[in-house]
Amino acid sequence: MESKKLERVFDRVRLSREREDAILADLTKKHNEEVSNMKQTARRRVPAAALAAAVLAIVLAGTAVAAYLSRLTVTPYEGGYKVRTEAKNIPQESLPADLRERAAALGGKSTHLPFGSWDEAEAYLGREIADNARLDQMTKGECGGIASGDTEAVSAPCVILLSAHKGLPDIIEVHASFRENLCHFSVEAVLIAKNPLLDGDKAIGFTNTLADLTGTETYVTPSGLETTIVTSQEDVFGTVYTNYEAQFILNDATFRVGTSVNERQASGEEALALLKEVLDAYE
Amino acid sequence: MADRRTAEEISGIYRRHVGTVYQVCLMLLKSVPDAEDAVQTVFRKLLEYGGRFESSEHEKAWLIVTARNECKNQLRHWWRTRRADSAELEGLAWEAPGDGELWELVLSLPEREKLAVYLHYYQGYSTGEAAELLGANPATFRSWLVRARRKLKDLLEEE
Repeated sequence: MESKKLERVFDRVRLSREREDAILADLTKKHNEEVSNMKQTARRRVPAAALAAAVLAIVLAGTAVAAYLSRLTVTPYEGGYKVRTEAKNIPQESLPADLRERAAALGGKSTHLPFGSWDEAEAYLGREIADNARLDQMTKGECGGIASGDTEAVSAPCVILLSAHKGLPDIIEVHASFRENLCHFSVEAVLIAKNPLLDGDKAIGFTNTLADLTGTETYVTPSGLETTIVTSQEDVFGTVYTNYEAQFILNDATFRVGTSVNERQASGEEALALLKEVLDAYE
Repeated sequence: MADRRTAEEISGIYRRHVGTVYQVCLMLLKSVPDAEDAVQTVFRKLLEYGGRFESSEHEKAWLIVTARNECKNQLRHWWRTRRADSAELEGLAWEAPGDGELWELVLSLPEREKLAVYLHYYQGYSTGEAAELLGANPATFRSWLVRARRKLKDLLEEE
């Protein structure tokens, strides 16, 4: 019988006993901490001194215009879509010492760093990624996550997800979320750290095959920023959501700014118009 | 939290369903380290979840849906693409020739189709139950199954 063969294959797909026990030990530890009420995870804030040093670095870095030609492409992929970015890679030495130390400690894993605002995250990174006056008018949301291993869960208005490769910063994602009426906006800026072992810059990609691609539109803001707005739909446990996501490169960061609406509750047209207002506010 | 579970209850739920959660996560994430992280996150969410389960089947359904959601979140991260490229999947030891190939083919299916195959053929859910679990229309679910079976047909018919 056909399903017997599938059964045999899935039966072999098992977590190793060692990892199974390690995860259970982590759960038990977490559970005990919560029960005894001893755990109160003070947010692991970035030290003020590191922020101050980074602010100084912004001033010193200036805004030199690079000759590098960044490129971003969006293509249909398995019913969804694929985004590939060839943004200029960031030199390791331009990254803050604190971030590099964290990457060295991480090895090949990732971790989340919480910040009170987008500006604080920029100050920590020592670079201006992009300000947006329209987003500043919205209500701040919370971002969060759990990094690899036993790193504490974090939740904050802005989170940096640092991914390391061989002890060096690799991909640095800055996440923030905002709300206005029934529209929820998520903003991600992705920086690619230069790999000293590679001659050229590294391109990275992202695929979304969980949502069905329904259209793409090139939208150019009044200041000349070229964006690609991807429209897709996804079924989340019986409720259909329409996603509008703008992809673009600005200041060497690859941006994804998106909103997702349940059209029974909010108008897709209004959400798209609001997204364009947000895009127009990038300079 | 409305009603906290005891350490024994957590441990029992974990031992009963960790295999299922891992299979869902590995199928969707295609990377052993990512799947292990996702399993950890799913069960941490269980710690935070205050609702009571009516049965072991209810527990399993909740964990499958939570695992799918967690993987969906992880798949949105850019850096995953790189990690997936270096997926450490070769650690699996297959029982019969061709099983590795079938697994690779299952992994290559679109998310919806591989979940459909897994829930229906492996977990034994009826098409109606599995469709409900995934929030899909039963007819749509059946069309995912038909498409998946068509793609797996050659390998399934060998032997």
